[in-house]
Amino acid sequence: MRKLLLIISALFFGLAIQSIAQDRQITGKVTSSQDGSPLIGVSIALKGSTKGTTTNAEGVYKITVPSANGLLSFSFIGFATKTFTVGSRNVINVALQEKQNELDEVVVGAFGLQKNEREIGSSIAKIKGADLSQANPTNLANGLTAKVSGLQISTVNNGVNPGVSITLRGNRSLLGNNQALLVVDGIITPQDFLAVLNPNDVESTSILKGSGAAALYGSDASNGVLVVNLKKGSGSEKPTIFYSYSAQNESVAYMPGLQQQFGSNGGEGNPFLDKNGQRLYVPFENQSFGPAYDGSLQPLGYGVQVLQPDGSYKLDTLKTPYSALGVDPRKDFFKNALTSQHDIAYRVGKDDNYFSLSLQQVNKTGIVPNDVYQRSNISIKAGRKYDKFTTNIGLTYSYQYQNVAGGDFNQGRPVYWNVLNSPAHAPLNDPRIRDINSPYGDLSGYFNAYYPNPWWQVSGENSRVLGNNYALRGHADIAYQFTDWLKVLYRVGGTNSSSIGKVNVANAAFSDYAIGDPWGAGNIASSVVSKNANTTDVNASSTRFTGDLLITINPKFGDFETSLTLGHHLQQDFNNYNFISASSLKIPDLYNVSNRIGEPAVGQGIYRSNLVGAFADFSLGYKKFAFVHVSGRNDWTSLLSPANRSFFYPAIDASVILSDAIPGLKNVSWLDYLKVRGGIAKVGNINVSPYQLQNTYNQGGGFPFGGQVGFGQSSQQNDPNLKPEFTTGLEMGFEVAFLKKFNLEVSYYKTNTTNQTVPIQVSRATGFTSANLNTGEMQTRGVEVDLKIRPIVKFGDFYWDASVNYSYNTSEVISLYGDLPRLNIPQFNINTGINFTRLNGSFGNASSVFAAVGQRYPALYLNDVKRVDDPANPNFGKVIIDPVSGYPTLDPTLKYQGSTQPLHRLGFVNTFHYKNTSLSIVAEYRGGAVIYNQIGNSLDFTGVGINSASNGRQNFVYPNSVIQNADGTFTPNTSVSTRDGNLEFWTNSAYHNAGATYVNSADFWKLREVALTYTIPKALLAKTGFIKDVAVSLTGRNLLMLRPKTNVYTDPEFSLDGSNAAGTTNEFQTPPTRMYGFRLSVGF
Amino acid sequence: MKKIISILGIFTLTFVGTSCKDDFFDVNTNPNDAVNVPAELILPAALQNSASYVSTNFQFLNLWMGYWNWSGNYSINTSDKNYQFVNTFNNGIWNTQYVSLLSNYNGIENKAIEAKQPLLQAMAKTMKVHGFQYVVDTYNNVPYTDALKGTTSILPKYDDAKTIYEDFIVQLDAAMDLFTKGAGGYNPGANDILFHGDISKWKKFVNTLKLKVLLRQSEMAGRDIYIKAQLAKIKSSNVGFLGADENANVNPGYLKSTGKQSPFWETYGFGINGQPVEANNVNRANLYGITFYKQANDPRLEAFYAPVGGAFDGRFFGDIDVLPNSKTSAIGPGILKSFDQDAVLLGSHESLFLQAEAAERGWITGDAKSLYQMAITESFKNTNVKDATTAATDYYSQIGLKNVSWDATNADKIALIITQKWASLNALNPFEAWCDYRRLGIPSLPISKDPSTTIKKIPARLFYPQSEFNYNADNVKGQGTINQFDSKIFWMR
Repeated sequence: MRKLLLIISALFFGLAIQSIAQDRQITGKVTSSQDGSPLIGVSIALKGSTKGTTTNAEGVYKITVPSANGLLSFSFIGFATKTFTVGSRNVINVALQEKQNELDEVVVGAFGLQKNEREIGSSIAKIKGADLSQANPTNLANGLTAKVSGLQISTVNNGVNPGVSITLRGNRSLLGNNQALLVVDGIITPQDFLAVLNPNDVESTSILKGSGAAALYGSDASNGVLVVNLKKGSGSEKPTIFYSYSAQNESVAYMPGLQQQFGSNGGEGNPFLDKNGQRLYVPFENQSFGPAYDGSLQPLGYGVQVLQPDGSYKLDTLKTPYSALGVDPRKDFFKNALTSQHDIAYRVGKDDNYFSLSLQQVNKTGIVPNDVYQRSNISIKAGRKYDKFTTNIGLTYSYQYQNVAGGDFNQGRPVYWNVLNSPAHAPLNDPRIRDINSPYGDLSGYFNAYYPNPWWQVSGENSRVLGNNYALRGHADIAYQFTDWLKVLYRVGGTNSSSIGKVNVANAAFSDYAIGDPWGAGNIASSVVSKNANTTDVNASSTRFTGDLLITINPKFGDFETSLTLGHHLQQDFNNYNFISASSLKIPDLYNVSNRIGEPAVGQGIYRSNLVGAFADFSLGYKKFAFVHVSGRNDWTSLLSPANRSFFYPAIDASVILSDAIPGLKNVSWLDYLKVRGGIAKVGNINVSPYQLQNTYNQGGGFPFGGQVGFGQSSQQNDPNLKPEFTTGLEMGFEVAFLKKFNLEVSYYKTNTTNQTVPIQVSRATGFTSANLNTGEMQTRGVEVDLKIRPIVKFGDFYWDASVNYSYNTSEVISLYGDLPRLNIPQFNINTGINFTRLNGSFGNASSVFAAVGQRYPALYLNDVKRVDDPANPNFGKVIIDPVSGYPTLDPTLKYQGSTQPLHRLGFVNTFHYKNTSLSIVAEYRGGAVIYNQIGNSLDFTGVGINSASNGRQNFVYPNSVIQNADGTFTPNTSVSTRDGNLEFWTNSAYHNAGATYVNSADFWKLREVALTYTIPKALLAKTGFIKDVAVSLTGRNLLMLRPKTNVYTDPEFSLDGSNAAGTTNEFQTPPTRMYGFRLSVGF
Repeated sequence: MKKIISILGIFTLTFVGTSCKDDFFDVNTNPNDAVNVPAELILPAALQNSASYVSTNFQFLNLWMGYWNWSGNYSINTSDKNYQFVNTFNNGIWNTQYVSLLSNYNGIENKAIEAKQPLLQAMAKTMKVHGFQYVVDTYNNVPYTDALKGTTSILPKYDDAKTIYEDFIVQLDAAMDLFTKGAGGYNPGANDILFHGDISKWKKFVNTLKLKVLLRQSEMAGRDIYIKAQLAKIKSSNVGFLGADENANVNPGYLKSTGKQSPFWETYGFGINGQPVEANNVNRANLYGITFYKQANDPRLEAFYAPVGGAFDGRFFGDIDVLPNSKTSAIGPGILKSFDQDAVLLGSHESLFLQAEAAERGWITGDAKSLYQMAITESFKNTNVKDATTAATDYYSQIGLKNVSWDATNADKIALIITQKWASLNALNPFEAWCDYRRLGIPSLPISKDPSTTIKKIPARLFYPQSEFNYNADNVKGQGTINQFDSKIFWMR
């Protein structure tokens, strides 16, 4: 058997076996010098002959050599080749050293074209699959976070299927897409697919940071490219089976700062206001502006009706101590969540002949009770080379299911809001309140008169947002190698993502007793009386087909190597959605639109676009140390008018290996290599959705009424002459490696995007709310530094590898339309959960984030309390208060509060090894950004926020305030106290109404990943005969975060959505979480 | 080398071939929204939006004008109770009018000119004046000549309010001419969901709007000659004003379906399951209104308010000791009639009160007293008072009753007319009541009882909307610092 394998291997390498009787046999084992593990498939060749062999699955080889003087060379991808004189030895054991600081690794660049590191004139970062998945991320994006410079990944929410936003080198487009392009196995793939890729299937990722790849990938690559290559075979002719299981626990890391001193009162009059105007405890109030906790036993809520055995009702009231509970009931509401993940993979073969099958199953529960998510993936990939033909096919099918709590029945508020509207003394987790069928927990009996029991909306089918997503991606290519310098390849790819969503809210009914509002509270029951259930169904499908022709011509002329790639790209996109909604259902629990009263609301959108690109990419290399690379591409798009649809964009870059080119440097012993590079690229980009060249009319406002139609003009003015926007990027950098230990890469870049297509918000007096036009310029500049130290420390079997990456990035708006000083960046429509923005170019709600001329992008603008605004005045910046009320007043002018994009990012990746144990730690810092914690406004309003108790609810002198004198001067205020330091101040003053009040620094340090892995020694496993690898890991993610004291709210990475309007938090997120767990992997 | 050339040739053919096939790129025809709609199909939506604007956009004025009060069931921002509002307060008056109404009427006008449809053009012109007057009466100087031009005038300058008012008359004159000139031409008929193609009613509506525009300026000094000249034109038109049974009401065929019910019913009434909507719970009777109707033995008490526990009760606006809904009257069945009730753009009662005031001022011919009594009768009819004509006669014939009987009030008939006009506009057009209050100070409405109400005045105007500070900052700042109490509309004394 072994012999057969050996022959197969030998045949595979195209090496003939010559059997010469008198030769002697050499045997040995090849291992990695790093950890002593056997290396499989190492090529062993006898110099000067055609003799050769490879190591087997145990790393063992056998070779027959004719004489003692032979030279044996041992070579293996990624390791330094070693050569030995055979001498008289019969056993030669070899420890190969991993290649380091040598510049000849092959990088899979644009379009799957393989390039040598030497010839790359732009910045490309590589992350190996194992480094991605070391801490068990369920989403690939989480595994990339903090690992390379220039790449920013923000998780904008938590929950069972969190959204991420991925940008490379910051933002270039004012309102268009700023997210990196995703390319999977050479196919341009919608970024949504990142969520369905199995991180364990990933062989490697290459991150093309600049816009230089755009000639090959087209416009979308102007934001950089994330190239994901999925695993091929096992790396040998022997099949491997891999299985892993992981389990992770997720729990709330911290809550917003919540006060523990004051109970309920919402400003009620009689009988909750005593003679002295003191606010008394109101047992049914949601707001916490009541008296200080005193530990006395108090009623909670109304009297509730409790059914007696004889059929009569008795009135009863829960009694609770009037003091904050030891375990905060709001935090305790969120439970520990669990993620479990099974992976099975079968792989065989290598290079061009391989087969791979992998299966993955992810099951998740959420911190919000009853939230669940599951994902099943099947992935098949195979390749075959026959003569001059090479073919590859790949197919991934993924099913995702999500079932999470939606809004409440009353105002559609999220769970978090209803939890935060509960005072510190209310035992939310008391079984009687948790049970929504108990008299104390049901809709009629819940103590809070104004907000529903949060347990109602997380229980049963009461309020569910259900999502089913079916994603299919496939590709196939065939290539023919005409000559050794001419190859032609055609590749087709397709992706389809179909989503079926359903949103249900159950009916709500109340007892007559509650409707009667016995306490005169004006409770929900008396307002709502009864509410019918509703349901909404959304079906959306998006399909993309691509076809690529690549002709590669790379002849060699003396010292010159050339490579010319000619290509043709065809892309067809087809998206559509339908929704149907019934606002009032008749039969409870039957969530079907046909079970409705009245007419349903319906909607439909169909979107098509086509694109053709033709490109040429030429590179010229001289003596393997100087390279020039030129490319050009012309695109034709259906999205623009015939006059504007064709556009061309060129790029040029160059690299020189100075350490090879300059003889003086060649022999500097400490210098491993030095490379300099630079390039300029221009990219045309279409930031236009289909059908945006004409103004539209639609039936709104209730039309049609039966047969009566009525159309209204869309509030966006469109421009028939839209043109492409152009990004011109300049990049330069150097890479230096020295002492076989240090590897430093530094890049500087600057991009200018002009002629941007932006739906700018305009004065409503124009008759429109927005106008879509070409205007504006943004400049993005940055510096990236990546330093790898391998190893930083080494003592015997212990070594420590470290890498540090630093990114400085700033985007500045140079100009906007005409005199327009700034324009608003809208957010997605968060309520539907579907990004209609991307589909139809219509925009969601205006946000507080702007693009403002002369300011960093995105710029947060909010109104503030009135301040002394003359910088020359000694009281500059102080708050002008009303001399009567002692309150600040509101200044309607929006003021710049800072940028929501970090200026500095620092990532640390550390790996410690000791024998079979390794420990990886990834940490990240982000600084220089601000965040608008809108949730702070909600927390103050409810009176549960810690800030609202900062003055003990007493009247106080507003800090750093001044009073304006009649002559316009200011006197510092030391005596005028606020008229109220309680409910009125915290819920109604200009302090509360000013957005700037809730702006904080968004800086943070995060411990992103910790993974401790133990690999069971192979020697032990060898006894089993069939188990080859076993590794056990303990993993943790987001274990620790440090942030400024002023940010008492939430994770500064969170935002309303993944749109450009980043940097606002509200109650539509849930509290930040941390995850820890273990993983077991077994290889057969 | 020959091989390369031939391959390059194929390659070039491939992409040039594809790119030349234009039908491959001609997929950008919008399958979702119409891009070309005739004017007569825009008209119904615009009219429906105008009626909805008048009947649902001024909740705050129903509070200020003594008709409604906040419910005790809800926690209300103090700024909504003490007139210390901010720039975002009721921005819809500006935003909705410009974007959803005026822009569409402007579009209708342009399309009608192109299609040579003078009647449609005249309707659009008339409705533009109707809409712009609301904006000017709320904000004084506003964009007018630069307005509605999209990106052609992206930072529209503000025009002087008085000049705009003068152009209203010019536009209405032009509309009147077009209505005459267009006779026999294209008539949108059923798509005119206001007057169903009845051009004589449109002409009366034009005159009624003119009268409304002129009456606003009654208290301005030195305006007499100008007003007289305009009145002469109204007279010479010989078509009169909207009279008895001539409501400017809109009804596209409202349905018992969410989003398709009559706007006032949908906004302040009931869902299709018969349960009150939130705004029905939030807005309750104001004690000032209740007291007024009670003291005058006015049967409209039961039209404007609903009984609670067999009686009518409420609190004053801003009262701290608010009543929960179980103890306070809701909006009444005379204005919350049914899901398919007409949406009121300008009621016949309002038109007749305008005429009564004009007659009393000697501006138009006609008997002020009978116009006044007709106006009351129309109000009774329009609020479904039982045996309205008889009940109205009984009502205004009450001897010696101040605020009701024409003959009992010797001194100030204008005050009587405006007081009764106020009583008829309850929730139907609180905006007009606010205009009369700002012009004449009638009736003497209570100021908010909220203790934080430091300035004891009902505001004279609103702040320019936040969107103007965001997107048209220089022009709005050019209007100077606005104070909601002291910065007046040009026609205020």
